[in-house]
Amino acid sequence: MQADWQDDGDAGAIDPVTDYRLTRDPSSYPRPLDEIWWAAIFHLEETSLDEFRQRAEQAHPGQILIPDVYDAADCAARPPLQSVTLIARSPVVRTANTVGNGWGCGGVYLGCMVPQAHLPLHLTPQERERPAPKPIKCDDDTVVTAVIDDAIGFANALFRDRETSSRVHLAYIMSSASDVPHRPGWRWEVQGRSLDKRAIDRLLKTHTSFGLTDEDALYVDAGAIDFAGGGFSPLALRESHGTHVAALAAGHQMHKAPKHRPLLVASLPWRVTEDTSGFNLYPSLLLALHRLEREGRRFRRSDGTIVPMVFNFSYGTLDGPHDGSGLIPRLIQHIVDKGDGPVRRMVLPAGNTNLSRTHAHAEVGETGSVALDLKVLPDDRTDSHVEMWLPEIEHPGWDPVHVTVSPPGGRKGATIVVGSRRVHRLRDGDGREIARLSYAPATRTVNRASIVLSVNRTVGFSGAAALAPAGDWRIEIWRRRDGAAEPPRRDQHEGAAVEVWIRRDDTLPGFPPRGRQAHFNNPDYQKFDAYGAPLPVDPPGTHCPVRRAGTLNGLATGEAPLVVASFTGSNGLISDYSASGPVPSRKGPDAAALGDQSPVLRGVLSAGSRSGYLVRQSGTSVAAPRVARLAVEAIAGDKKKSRKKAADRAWLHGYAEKSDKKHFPQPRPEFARGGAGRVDIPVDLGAPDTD
Amino acid sequence: MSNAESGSPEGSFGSFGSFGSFGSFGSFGSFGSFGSFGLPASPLAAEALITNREGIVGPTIPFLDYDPRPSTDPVHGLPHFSPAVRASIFLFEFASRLAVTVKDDGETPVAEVLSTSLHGGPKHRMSAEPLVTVVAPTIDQLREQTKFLSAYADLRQDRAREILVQTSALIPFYASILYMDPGRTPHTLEFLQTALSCANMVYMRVKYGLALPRPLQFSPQIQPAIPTPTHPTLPSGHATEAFLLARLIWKLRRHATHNPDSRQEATWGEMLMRQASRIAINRTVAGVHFPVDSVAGAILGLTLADFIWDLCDKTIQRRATAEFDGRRFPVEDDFHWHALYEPKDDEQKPWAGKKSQPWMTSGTKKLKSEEQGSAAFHWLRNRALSEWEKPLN
Repeated sequence: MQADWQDDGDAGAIDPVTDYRLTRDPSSYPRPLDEIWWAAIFHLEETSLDEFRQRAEQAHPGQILIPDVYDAADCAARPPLQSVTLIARSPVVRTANTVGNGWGCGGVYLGCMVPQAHLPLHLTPQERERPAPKPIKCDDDTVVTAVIDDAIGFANALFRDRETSSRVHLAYIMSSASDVPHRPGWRWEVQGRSLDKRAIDRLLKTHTSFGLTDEDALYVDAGAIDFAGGGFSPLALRESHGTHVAALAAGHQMHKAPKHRPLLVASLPWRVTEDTSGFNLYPSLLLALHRLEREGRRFRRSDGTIVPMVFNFSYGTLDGPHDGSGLIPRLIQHIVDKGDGPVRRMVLPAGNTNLSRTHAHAEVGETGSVALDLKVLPDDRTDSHVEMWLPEIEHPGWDPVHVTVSPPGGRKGATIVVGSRRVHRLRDGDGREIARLSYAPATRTVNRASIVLSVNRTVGFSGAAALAPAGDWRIEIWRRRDGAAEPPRRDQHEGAAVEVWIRRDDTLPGFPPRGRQAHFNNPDYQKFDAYGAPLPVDPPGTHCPVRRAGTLNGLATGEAPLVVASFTGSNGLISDYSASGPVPSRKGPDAAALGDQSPVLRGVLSAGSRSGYLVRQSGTSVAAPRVARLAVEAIAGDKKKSRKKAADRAWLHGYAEKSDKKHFPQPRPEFARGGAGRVDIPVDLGAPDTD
Repeated sequence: MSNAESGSPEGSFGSFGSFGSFGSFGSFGSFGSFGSFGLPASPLAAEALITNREGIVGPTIPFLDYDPRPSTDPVHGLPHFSPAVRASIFLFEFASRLAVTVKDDGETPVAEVLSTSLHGGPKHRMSAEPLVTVVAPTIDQLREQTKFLSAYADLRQDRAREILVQTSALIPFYASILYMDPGRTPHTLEFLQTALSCANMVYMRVKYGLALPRPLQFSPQIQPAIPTPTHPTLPSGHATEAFLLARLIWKLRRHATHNPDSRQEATWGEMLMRQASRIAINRTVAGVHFPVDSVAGAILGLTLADFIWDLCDKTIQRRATAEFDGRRFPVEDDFHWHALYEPKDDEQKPWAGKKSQPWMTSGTKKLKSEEQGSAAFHWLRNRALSEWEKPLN
């Protein structure tokens, strides 16, 4: 295929990936682009939400929704910078992402498409009015667990304390019609709906006959499953990631249900199947975090103080600079670490991408170049993005970093240089854009500049689809091609590296396959050890830029989260797939918990979608909630009244070190893979103890 | 479960063999060879008998005195028949008490299943009363219901094995709930198989009359997981059979148990109905039925269960009836069995949908004059029940 790069100058867009996603060919979108609603994060600079809404409404009336997790005080606040999730149509996103937009917006991070039916557009102002939520008086010992995941079977018996009494105090169902009947305890949300304990208990009573709960009918009634909507309801399957994880974090057999351990759950929106960008849940994640955190503030002790809360979010991604300054890590930090506020902890998995060849460490130092072979797969229905993060500190004498990208087929490459806002577009023989190379400077939200390569999907049904060629793309990262005139200087910036990550394509279990993961295919990457087993660590002294080290979950790179790796029960070894540090802001995960029973019996048992049986799932996703469970009890057991340091990272390190020495075969795994040590946390869901 | 493509008694009996193909029930499959006692089915058998007779018969002995006086009650012959022979008798007993009419006013066809009774006297008068009436939904309604098939198709990865097994065997699923087995409850199984064969005749006739198209005829994207059977879509044969089985098994258990009205008892009935519902919905998952097909099938199956049970009485004093008006069934509605039936009291719900314009009504009425039940069915049910009674000590 004839494909040629063109230097198209300054695109005038702030976030290049958002711009790219909004400029694909029409067959990439299920509806005309301008009609589509998006969940997106807007970075407002010295602008209040009220002001922003006014300006956006003026230019594009009726095309923006402010979630009511932002109350009147939030909407009036005018901090130097705030990153908020709003639901808006494409024209609003486009304008807000344009340089010099005059709305006070410093760029937009685009999330997923939101079906119109999931938005409360038709509600009248009266219908939208609701009374402020009342505080819930609870025992001083109470600790709240909040789980955010895909479909969570909140009616499962493991989340009840009696046949028709739920321990779930809020179920936020994001993929459901926002149109709720006037039933007590049901609330419309800006995306979807929520049900409180009252509503869930009523549903349990309605759908339980003679000891048997018809959970299928219950979830259809709740709007968590929709067979007529044409979409995909993960909760309809016998296994769901969210139910499995939630049960590990907070599930108990009914007759052993603990008191004072309420549960809040949020089910993120299921993939909009026509979205070919490899969708992105972060804006919806933030909504869910805000919503659950706000709900958690209702739980008050006898002295009126807010009880502690532990979040579990079992997702791993590769986006961001991994130095704690990325958008999501910062926002997690903001929600979790409120200084004087109530105790909040966030547990995240280390990620399963250790062997995925999606990370490269390109040491371009003062001179030199690094070449990466990027394999883009055929039959990849979603776009691929490669993020190249530039060193935070650049020596003033050094040449700027250049990146040259050549598509398969030996056509000439395009070169972009750091600092340039010029966008390079690769066009096919029909003049349609199929790939883009762009530069994004450091911003107030992200400490580092980046260069992004965005590649179109490689398969599409429509003849009008602009497809990128599958095959080996070449990425060269270099400073100067010719040899240096002087010998290289050695100073503290020696070894400054460009850290490269390929964005993860989140295909969850049970979902139809959409994207296929692009990865690095450098010939000097050693995959196997001498015995033919996958090598879980980089060979010492390797020169290959493609690394296992540094694959750690991009979400988990801030100060606050408790990051959990996975180990195999039978031999105590860290699972091969469990992602590794170090990354610029972390040496590795904080601890490791059980993720697989044995090398041949993968996964651990936990709840299936319906009551009465358990299923196996594997990964750092299932290791993390064990630590959440531990953290909840540690906080409850902490005798100091303020509990300020209960179950924080330092505590977890100490606990893991002791636990590792006591319960596991030595030596301890290296910190980059297993953190401070392995922890043994029993979970009793009614199956014989198979730990 | 009868081979969907055949309605003959041999066909239904042959399915005993398919029951035999289900693992541990394999010994029952050898029932098929009972007709020949395990003799090889070839000319060898006849030749062996012939030459054997020559060897042992001896000279003819004049008339031996033996007068087998047949009983005046043919029922006494039943235990001596092979199951295949009994099957023919039961099928005729059932079919001769039914008639089906199909009317088409140009809008939608209406199938009426009528129960008939022959009155005594020289004129041999027959009368007929409605048993189940099925008013077809419109083609537009079916088209709207195809919306369900896309989301249900997502469940194929979960249900594929069940779907395949359930193309030919339903009873083993109920046998996993209530203890049934060819060695333990042979007449119960014969009773259930008989009921299935009877139901097969009825639902095939109704399908034939209403002639409604299958999901894949509306869209090239249905792509069912199994071949779509050649008979029309509504009512669903699987739903009819599944609910017929569930209700009959439930009646057997209720009749035999000490405490039919206890709360715990109702759990058994609930579970049997859940099983029936799963079998029915699996057909929508497979892509060969609309939800409304299962609604019509379930109503038919539940009512036939009542009809067959009453037929087993010596004299019949009540008749169950039901009507399904497909035109009133909301296209956005899915199949929910709880709207049709209450297991605790073994009763169909009197109506479903909007009270002023229900899409289902059902009821039982007292017959003006008693009718004769079927002695043959009565015998069969007694035998079945004896397998459920608690043993006397």
